[in-house]
Amino acid sequence: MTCEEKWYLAIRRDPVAMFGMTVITVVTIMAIFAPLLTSYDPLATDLSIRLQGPSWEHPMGTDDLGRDLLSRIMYGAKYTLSIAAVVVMVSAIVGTALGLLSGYIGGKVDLALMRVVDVMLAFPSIILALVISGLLGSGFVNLLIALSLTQWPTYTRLVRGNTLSLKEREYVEAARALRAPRRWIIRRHILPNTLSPLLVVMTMDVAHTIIFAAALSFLGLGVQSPTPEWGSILRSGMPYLTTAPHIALFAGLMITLTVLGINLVGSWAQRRYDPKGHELAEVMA
Amino acid sequence: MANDGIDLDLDEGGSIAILGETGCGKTILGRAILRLLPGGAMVRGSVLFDGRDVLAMSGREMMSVRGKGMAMIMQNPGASLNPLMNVMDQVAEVYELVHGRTRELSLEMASEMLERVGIPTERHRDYPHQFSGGMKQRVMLAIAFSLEPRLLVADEPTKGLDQRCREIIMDLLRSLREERGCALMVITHDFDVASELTETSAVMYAGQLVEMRPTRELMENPVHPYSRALVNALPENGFVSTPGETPALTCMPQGCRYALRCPFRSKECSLRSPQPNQLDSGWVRCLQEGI
Amino acid sequence: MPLLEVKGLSKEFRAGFLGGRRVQALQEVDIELGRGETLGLVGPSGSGKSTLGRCIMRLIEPDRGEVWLDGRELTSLRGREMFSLAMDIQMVFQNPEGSFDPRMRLYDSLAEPLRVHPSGDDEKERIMDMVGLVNLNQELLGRYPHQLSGGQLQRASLARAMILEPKIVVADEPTSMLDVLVQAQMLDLMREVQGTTGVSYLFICHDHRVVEHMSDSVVRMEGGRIVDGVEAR
Repeated sequence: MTCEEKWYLAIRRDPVAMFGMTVITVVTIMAIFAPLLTSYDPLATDLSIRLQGPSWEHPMGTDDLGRDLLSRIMYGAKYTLSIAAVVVMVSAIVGTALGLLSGYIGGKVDLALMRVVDVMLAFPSIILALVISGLLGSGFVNLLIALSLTQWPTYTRLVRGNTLSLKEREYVEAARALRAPRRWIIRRHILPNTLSPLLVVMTMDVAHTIIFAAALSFLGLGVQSPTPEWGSILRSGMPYLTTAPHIALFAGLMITLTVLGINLVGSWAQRRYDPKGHELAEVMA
Repeated sequence: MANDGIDLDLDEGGSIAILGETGCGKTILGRAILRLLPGGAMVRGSVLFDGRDVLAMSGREMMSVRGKGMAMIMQNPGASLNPLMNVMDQVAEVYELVHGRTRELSLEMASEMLERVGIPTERHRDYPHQFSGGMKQRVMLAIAFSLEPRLLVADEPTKGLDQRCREIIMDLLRSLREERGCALMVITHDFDVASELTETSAVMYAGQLVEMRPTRELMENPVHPYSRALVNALPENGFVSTPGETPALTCMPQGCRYALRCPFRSKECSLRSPQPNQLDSGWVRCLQEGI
Repeated sequence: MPLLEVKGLSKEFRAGFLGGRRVQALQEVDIELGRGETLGLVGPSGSGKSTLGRCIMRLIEPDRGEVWLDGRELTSLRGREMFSLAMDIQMVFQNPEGSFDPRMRLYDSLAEPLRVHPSGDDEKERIMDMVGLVNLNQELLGRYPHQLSGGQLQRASLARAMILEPKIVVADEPTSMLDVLVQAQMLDLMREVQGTTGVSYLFICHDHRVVEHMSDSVVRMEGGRIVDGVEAR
C-alpha cells in the first residue's frame, strides 16, 4: 500500500480506465441533469411519430408510443445508477458486518450463519432474485430490496474468509495480548485490512447489479412502464427488433457501455490497490 | 543498483557460496545468472556459461541452457511446486520433457530419484500440500537433480527448516553433487551451510562482493571488516554485535559502502570506492592496507 | 519467591472432523522464572514451547494447571480481571513483518497499548522514551511497517511490548527470522533492556546456542513435556 498519488490524477495515465471513467461521468451527468439536457418529456406520448428511427429532432428515434428515446434514456440513467449505488451499499454493509462477526467470533454463530449463506449462494442468483422479486411484487423499491437480499451473502463469505486469515496475524495477537476489547480489534485491525479487496469487489458488483436490474425489468418484474428504466426500455423494444431495432439497440448499448465503463475502472482500481509493490520487494530480499 | 561490479568464476564441479544478509542483492544475482529477473531489470556485463554469453542468447537458446545447463532452486519450495500435480509426475515431467524419455521410463526414474532423496514409495503419488517444508525441499532437489544440470544455483536451501531437515538437505546436496559432478552456487546468510557445502565463499554487502576466499580461511580469518563483523556475530564466537545497519539498495553512500560502520575507516574511505586487492588466497575490497 | 510459577500446565488440541484427532501439546509442565532473570525454553518445532508461552499469557486457554504471577493465579481470572494482565506480561513475536498492522504508522502501533490502557502520562513522551530504549531512530515513527527492515521492526516490537512496563516479556523466537549481525544486535539489546528495566524474559527458541547465551536457566522441551532443566550460568 504505497500509492500516495490521488486516484483522480493517477487514473489519467491509463487510457482504457479513462474511457471507463468518461462513460461513468457521462451517465452520471445524464442522471443528474436530465431535465436540463433535453426538452422532451420522457412520458409524453405521440402516436403519430411512433417507431421513428434516429433523426435530427430525435437523435435516438422514438419508441412504440412516440416518446423521444434519448430523453427516456437520460431520465432512465438515474434509476440504473441509484439501483447500483443503493443495492451495493446496502448489501456490502450488511454482508460485511455479518462476515466480520462470523469470522472473528466463530463458533456457533459462524456455523449457523455460514449455513444460511451456503443455502443462498447455492441458488443461481437470477433465480433467487426472481423469486424474491416475485414475492414482493413489482416496483422500484421492491427491486432494490430483492437485489440487496440476493447480494449480501457474497460479501459475507468474502469478508469472513479475510477475517479468518487476518485473525491469525501476529499484530492481531499483539492486540489480544493488550487485552483490547473485540470491538476494538475488529474495527481497527480487521476491518481496514479487508477494505481493499472489499472495495474492488464492490466496484465489480455495481456492474453486475445493473445487469441484474435490467434483466429483472426485462422479465417484467421490478420497474414497470412508463418508468424509463433501461431494462424496461429494452423489453419494450423486443417486439420491434426487425421493424424498429433502434429501441432495443440503444437501450442495450447504454447498459453495455455503463457496465463496461464500471468494469474498466474496477480493474484499474484492482491493479492499483493490489500489493504489486511486493513483486519488487520479493526479488530484493 | 542491486548488483554492482560482480566478477566471479566457477569451475566445472566447483562450489561457491554467496554469503550476505537480507537486502544485499544476492538473490538478484542468482536470478540474473539464469535470466529470471522481471522485465524491468537492466542487466549489464556478461555471464559466460561454457564460454557462451547467456545474456546475449535468444529465448530459444536460453531455454536449452536453463535446465540441462543451469538450474535454480528458489527460496520457497512450496511456491515452486505445482499444487495440482503429484510429486512423482512433477519429477517425471523433467525426464519426459528435458531428456525426452518415454512416459513409463520417466515415471520409473522419477520414483528412483524420489527414493534417493528420502521420500518413501508410498508417498510418491501425494500432492505438494501434503508434505512438510523439509520434504518439499527434498522434492525440489529431486527435480533439480533429475535435470542433470552442470550448475545448480541454490537460493537459501535450508531457510525455515529445523536442524534435522537442514542436515538432511545439506547431505543430499553434497552427495548428489559428488555423484553427478555438478557445480554448486549456494546463496545464503548461514555460515554453517557455506562451510558444509562450498570450497570458496564470497561475501556480499550492499550489492558488491567485498571478499572472496576459500571458505575455511574466510571463517577462521576474515579480512574485510564486514566479514569480521559477520564472523564475530556467529554463535561459536559469542554473538558479538557490531552497530549500524545495511544501507538500502536505493540510497548508497559515496565511496566504500561499509565505511559508515567501519571501525578502521579513514577520510579516504568515504571518497574513493575500493577495488579488489589480491591476497594470498583470494581478494578483498578495502582501501586500508595491512588489514 | 519466584516471579512466575507454572504448575501442571496441560493443553490438548483437537483437530479433524468432530474433534477426532487429539494432540497433547502440553503435559504437566512446571517452570519457574525469577525477577529480572531469563528462562530459556528450547526444543524442536512441535515441542510445545510456543504453546506454553501463549498459555501463560492466556492467548490460548490451558486445560489444566496453575500459573502464579507475583502471587496472583492467572488461569482463574475471568473477563474484566484479565484486562490488567496486559500490564504484567507481554509478548514479542517471531515474525517482525507480521507483528505490525500494515495500515498503521509505527507511531500509532506503539501508541496502541497506551490507548487501550490510558494512564495520565503523555503519550508522545512515553513513546519517545521507549524508542530511545531500543535504539530506534525517531524518524522511523512516521513510517509504515513495509518501509522498515526486519531488525528495526523487531526492535519496535520490543518497544511496544515494554511500553506498559510489564514484569515479564515472552519472547517467541525473537531472532529466528533475523540475519546474523542483526540477531547479535537484538540479543545485546534485549540484555541491555533487561539491565535497565529489570524485566524478566521467557526466551523461546529452537537454537540452543542462542538460548544458552541469553538465559540464566534453561528448560528443554520435547513432545509437550519438559525433558531437561539446566542452570546455564
